[in-house]
Amino acid sequence: MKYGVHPKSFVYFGIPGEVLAGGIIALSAAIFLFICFRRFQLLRQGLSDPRMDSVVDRLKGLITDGFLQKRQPRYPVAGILHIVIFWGFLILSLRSIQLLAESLSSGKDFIILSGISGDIYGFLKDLAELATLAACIFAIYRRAVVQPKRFQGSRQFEAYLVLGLISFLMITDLLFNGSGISLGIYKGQVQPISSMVSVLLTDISKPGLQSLHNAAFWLHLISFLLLLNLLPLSKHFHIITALPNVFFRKQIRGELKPPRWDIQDLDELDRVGVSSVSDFTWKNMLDFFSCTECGRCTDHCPANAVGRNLSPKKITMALRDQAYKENPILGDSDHNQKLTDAVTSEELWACTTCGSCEEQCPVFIEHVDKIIDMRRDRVMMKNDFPPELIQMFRNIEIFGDPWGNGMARRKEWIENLEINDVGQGDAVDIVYWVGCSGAFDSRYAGVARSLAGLMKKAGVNFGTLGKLERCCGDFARRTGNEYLFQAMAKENITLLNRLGVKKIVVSCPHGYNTLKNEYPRFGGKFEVVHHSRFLWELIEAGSLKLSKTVNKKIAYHDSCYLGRYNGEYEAPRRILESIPGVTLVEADRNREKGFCCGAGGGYMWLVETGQRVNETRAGEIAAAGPDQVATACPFCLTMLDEGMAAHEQSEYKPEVLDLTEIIEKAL
Amino acid sequence: MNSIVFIKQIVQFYLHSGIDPKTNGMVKEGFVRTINPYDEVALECAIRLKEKTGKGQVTIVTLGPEVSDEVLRWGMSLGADTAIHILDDEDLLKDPLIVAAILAETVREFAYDALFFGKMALDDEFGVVGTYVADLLGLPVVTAVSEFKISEPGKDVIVQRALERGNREEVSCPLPAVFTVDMSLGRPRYPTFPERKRAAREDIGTLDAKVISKRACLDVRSPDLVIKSLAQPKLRPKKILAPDSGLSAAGRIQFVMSGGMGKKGGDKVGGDPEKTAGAIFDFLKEKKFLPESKDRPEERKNASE
Repeated sequence: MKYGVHPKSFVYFGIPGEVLAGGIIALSAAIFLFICFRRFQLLRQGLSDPRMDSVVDRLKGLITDGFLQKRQPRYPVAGILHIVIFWGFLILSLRSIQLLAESLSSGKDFIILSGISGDIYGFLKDLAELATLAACIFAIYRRAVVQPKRFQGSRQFEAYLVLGLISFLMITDLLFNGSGISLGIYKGQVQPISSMVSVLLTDISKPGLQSLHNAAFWLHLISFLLLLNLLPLSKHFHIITALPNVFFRKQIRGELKPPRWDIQDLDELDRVGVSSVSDFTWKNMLDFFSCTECGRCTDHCPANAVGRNLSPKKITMALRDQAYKENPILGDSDHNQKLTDAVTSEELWACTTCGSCEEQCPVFIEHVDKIIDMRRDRVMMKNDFPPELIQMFRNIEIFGDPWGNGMARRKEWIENLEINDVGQGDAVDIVYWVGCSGAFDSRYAGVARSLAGLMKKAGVNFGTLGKLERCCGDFARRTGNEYLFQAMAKENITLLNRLGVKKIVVSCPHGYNTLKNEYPRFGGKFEVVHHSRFLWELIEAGSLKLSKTVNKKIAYHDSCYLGRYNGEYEAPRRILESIPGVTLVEADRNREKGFCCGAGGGYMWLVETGQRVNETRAGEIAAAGPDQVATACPFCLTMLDEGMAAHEQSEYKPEVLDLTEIIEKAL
Repeated sequence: MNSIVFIKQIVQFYLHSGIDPKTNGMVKEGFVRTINPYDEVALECAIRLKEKTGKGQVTIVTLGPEVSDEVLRWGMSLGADTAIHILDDEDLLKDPLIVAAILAETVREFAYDALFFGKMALDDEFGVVGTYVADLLGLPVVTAVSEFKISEPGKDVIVQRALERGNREEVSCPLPAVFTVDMSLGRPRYPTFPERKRAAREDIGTLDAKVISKRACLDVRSPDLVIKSLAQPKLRPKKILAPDSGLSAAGRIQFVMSGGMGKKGGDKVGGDPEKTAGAIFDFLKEKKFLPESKDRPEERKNASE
């Protein structure tokens, strides 16, 4: 037996090592390419979805959220473990390629990794191997012993298999290197961990060392190729697809996916919504490939938190299973189960579209779009939806607002204020979009009057659309009634364009999001500001002087459509902080993690059974001990106001107000 | 089973008053045109029957001005197969007997098993057109139908009528017949997207009301029913429905059931008659019930001196 040579120079079962290695690599590469090709075929089957705009922003996102894993540390332990494994993997995939190249090429070293760079790499990869091994073992321990709730329903076997394989790869490579050092193959390289391993191996005889060296090499090679082939077959496909998925992520978060990207006009469509796998876009498929069932989405889902039957993770898994069943790698497709049975109505109608799942997902899977697409199918094609929505739809269609008050009443909120009416021809700089709540919700009409008063005081030349404004259509769209939404959007956009409106202030985050992010696609391009930002600008410019001291502790509740969908976390907080005497306190879940009030996605008009989201949230805020709660959304205001009265977490029930009302008292 | 459903577009005022105090004329805003909800339920009944039996046609008919084709489009998007618009350009036909005569004349030659009406229209609340049509066509009529059962094709149908206190009456009725439908029959569906598209595409047959009335030998210009005047409701103070939390449970229930109470405005005056009179005078003046030229309080002061 030769000693101190590469395992490939031996003959195994009559086959030379090089040939054997070449054969194994070629076979597994062929299988891998075939599986990937089949998956790619599934992806290609998807409908079009343009995602090549703003490449620079996408690349930036790829670096921060992809390579730098910005979202991972939100779960400190799991996040750090993942970062270690991710970077370990990046470093070690080079090592694996090196090993493959070594086993095939006649030269001993992989070209790039020779000389100084090879030495540095050798040192780096040694540390990476130890760190990855430790992280994998800790991850296995967490899954088996700590058992975080978010892993419920995930495929545990796959996870253990892959973590085990990665650990095995690390161990075999360390043994390969360690025995190599003992045999004197690697000289002059600084490989601290491998050297330590070689010290452990000093008692073994030379033939034993060479056998170990050979065994470690082949086991490493085979397990690497096994892992490679496992990836596209399991949830660990994310190792390949996650980075592309981060790159192709949604750029305008607040804009809901239209029924079709390639066909704008609803009249040209025969069907709307998703009822089968073939209705998904290629990006939806990439989402399915990229889900690794970590359960962060479900962990932050308000509907799930109050015990409703909704888990964004399970929906993604169910849809993926359906797609895989209908498009298997080998064999016939299985059409026994319909997609509409894979996700129940109960699940679809539990969603408040708060977007917390999407905010938490480290690989930017878009859950809400898929839920709404399936709602569209049930509302617009199957007539299968909660009947309480019919009244809301009819009211919007006939009266122009979800309550059915009628457009002629749209100026009643003004009472005895003098406000310009752009519809009557008054010339103004800024249009105040009152919204249905401002016009018709008796509590919120007071907020609208406060806001109008503040703008007057600051000398803003503004006006409203008077009796011409209509429902913006947000609730119709998010309950799946795209037809109604588009009808409203087109009416409003035509009106706004006819009046030559340039800048709009909106007090309702739902209207704000719709006007700002969704109307541009239908030809409505205006500058849209939310009143929190607008008032903060007035305060900063000195037009509004917060002079009175308000000695109160105030908590700010983030509205989903203002915060998560539009990134406005700062303006409301700065306003509160700039009021003399105010101490800003934060509820447990705030900003990106902010917990929904329970009204979004049409829930303002849906019957809630069981524990209520708003009561849960109100209790959570009350626990932070504020004297007052500030909101910036009419629906949050209503929901929390009611929630405060009903929650049972404490006797303490702070007053719920809108930002404008708090500012008014500080002037 | 072939059904014909008669639907009406009603004008629904949602403001407190339809009279503009400035012009003393009708307010040109504050109303919507919509399908009479009873008729929508009647249509729902016909569509359910068609779905149940699996055959037959549902035809919808409306009488009204041009804009009322909106309700026909709506009706078709709910599932009606064909639509007929009897055009009444000037929106003149208000007399239920004339309306019934025109409707009866229109469908006289049609093949149908059942004619459906809403129990009444929410705008004029006559509730007689269906019965008149039955009389004119010599058909049996069942009013206020709350459930419709078909036992066997060709046999009599069993319908349920909603009576007071939740009592139900089952009536057997041979076909063809006229049914006027109560709201308790069921909630109308919401149109699906393909049905909406179909409804927007399809042709609506138009007939002229004048031609039909001539054919029926009707004198439309001198109806038996003449509306002499129309009175608008007076504005009333807003009702407070939330009961005083100080009341007992029984008291609160009584309060809610009595329809709440008017909001009491202003202050009470009492005690010294002279002061009371002064307060009343000030109140009247403040509310501008008195001419402004004379400054009465001063005079009163002077007089007492």
